[in-house]
Amino acid sequence: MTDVLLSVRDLVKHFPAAGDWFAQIFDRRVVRAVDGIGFEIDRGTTLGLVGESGSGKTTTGRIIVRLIEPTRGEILFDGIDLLKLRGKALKAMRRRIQMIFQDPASSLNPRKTVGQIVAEPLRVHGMVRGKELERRLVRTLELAGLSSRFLNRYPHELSGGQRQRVGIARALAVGPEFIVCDEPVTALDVSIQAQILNLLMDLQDELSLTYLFIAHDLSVVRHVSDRVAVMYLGKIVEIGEVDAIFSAPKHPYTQALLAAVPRPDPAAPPRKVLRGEVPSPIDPPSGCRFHPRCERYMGDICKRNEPVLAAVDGGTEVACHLYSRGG
Amino acid sequence: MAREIQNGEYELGAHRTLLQEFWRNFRRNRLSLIGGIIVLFYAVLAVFAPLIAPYDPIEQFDAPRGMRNPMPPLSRDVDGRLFLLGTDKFGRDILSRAIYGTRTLLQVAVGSISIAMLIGVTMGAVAGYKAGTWVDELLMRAVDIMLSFPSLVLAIALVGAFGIGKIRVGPFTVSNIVKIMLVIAITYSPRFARVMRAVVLQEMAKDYVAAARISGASGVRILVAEILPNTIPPIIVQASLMMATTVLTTSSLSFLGLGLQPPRPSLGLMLNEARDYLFWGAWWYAVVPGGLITLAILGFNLLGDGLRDALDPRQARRRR
Repeated sequence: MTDVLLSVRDLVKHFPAAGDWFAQIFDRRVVRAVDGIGFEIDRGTTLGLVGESGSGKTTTGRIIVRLIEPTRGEILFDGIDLLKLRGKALKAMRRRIQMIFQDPASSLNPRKTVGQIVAEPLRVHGMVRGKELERRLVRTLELAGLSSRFLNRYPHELSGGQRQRVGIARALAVGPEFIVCDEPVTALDVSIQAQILNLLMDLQDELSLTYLFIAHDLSVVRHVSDRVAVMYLGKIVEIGEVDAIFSAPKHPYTQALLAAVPRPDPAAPPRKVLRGEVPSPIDPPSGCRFHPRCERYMGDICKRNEPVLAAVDGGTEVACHLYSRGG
Repeated sequence: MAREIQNGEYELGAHRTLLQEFWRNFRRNRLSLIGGIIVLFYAVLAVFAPLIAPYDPIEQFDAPRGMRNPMPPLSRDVDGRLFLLGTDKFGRDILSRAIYGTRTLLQVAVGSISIAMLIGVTMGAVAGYKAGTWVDELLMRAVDIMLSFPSLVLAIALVGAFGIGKIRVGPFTVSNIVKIMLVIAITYSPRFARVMRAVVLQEMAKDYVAAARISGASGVRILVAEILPNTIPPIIVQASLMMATTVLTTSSLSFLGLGLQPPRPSLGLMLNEARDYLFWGAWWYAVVPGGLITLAILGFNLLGDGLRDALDPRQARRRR
């Protein structure tokens, strides 16, 4: 039996394209950052969310942790409608859902010590105080692989990897079940990336955590994910088991992404590079959003009809007319 | 599970505290050090005025036979008392009056900057936190309106509205000096609001604010405990630069007779009195208060520039 922890349905976020309320009177255009996506994450597993910058993956993560209010949609977390929560109920839910940020330099307050940073969520929730708080802090830091010597250290005294460990400790402090990892290793050196990734995976096993892992680095996503969703211009174009997607990508966009991964093999054929630029999410292409750049463009059907996600053999779901035509 | 635990040992000499970093940057700039010394000199003068001043600033002395007040520097009165910087038209010691005048000037300047900071920082913080909403719009348009008046004109208008001398508001009496502080504070608080709003906006975009929100912290807690400490450096810089302007405005108000009232010693008022005697050759009468005002403005400006360069490297001007 599968045990779905998080289920996202028809999630939409449109940002106003104009800056302030005054400009918005004259300019009613919107940026379609997330335009009707849905996915489920099973308890204890990792869903990797990949896509180019501007594809809406970070927005999706921020909606789930309730940093951004979506335009519409439904998110069920353990059967609870996340988007309906307000006040006390929302605050209580924040203990169960946490986030790890991309840039550890900006996600740690430069005026606070590591101890204060990690203690902050515990204090806000009034979970522990005094001696018990101290013990909890040390335990949490150790979970993230930091010794208690760091407690009185300021972020600027730490290396990038150590800072990210502090960010992880902060997320772990309140004992969450679900963590949104927003490009947690993108800002780090390659040598450190592996350490942090392994730490995240160890923690998942130990604490039976569930991750939404946002990244644009495909090899990273392959390493940590159970399932993968590929986003393009606010839509999910393909979602499925990590092995199925990496061994037999169905959607032409996924194929192009994978073909662009550098391979350390001089005999490999030259990489195919995707033509063109990502179109503006203010005015996305009609029909299939990928059609102006698609290698297997089939004419009118791609231009007119928007493909929907549908299961194909191999267990993945793809939004592409190539597979829907034969029915 | 065997996890490699990272130890927080310092690498040799690689780390400095923020304060050490600041001092290193500040010291490098010789002009800002001079500014600091000037400001220090004024602070000593203001704090220890009763110990430094040779005479009571409002005591009048009689000129000896054959001379009349104002007397030039280094002259003596009938009883042989020496006046290093001469006397004014009523026979009062200019040096003592200048020292006490500096004291009141700095009192007003520090007082009004503190009040202006309090008002401006609160307005700016709220506007920045509520950016894009009607609250922000209301506050910032009010700031725009106030900034569209030349500050001295606005200050004069406010004094005109409140009246000269002390004022009564219901059961409270506001002394003249506090009233002047309030007038100048109101005049300059919009500038703090502007700076504060910009800094708050900049900080809000950083992920530590998002992290605090995910932690469940309330808006007030985020603003006060997370954002506010990070806005201190630019506000200090602004305060130091504004001190110079405030010294000038305070003196100008006194000069125009709208500020501190006689017999309280005030540099601006001394300057005004001195005008009548310039053609009599009484240069010391104007040079002493004028020089003190100029030097104070120079000192605060140099210090402010230096602080900005040291605290806010992004805005630092290229030197050397």
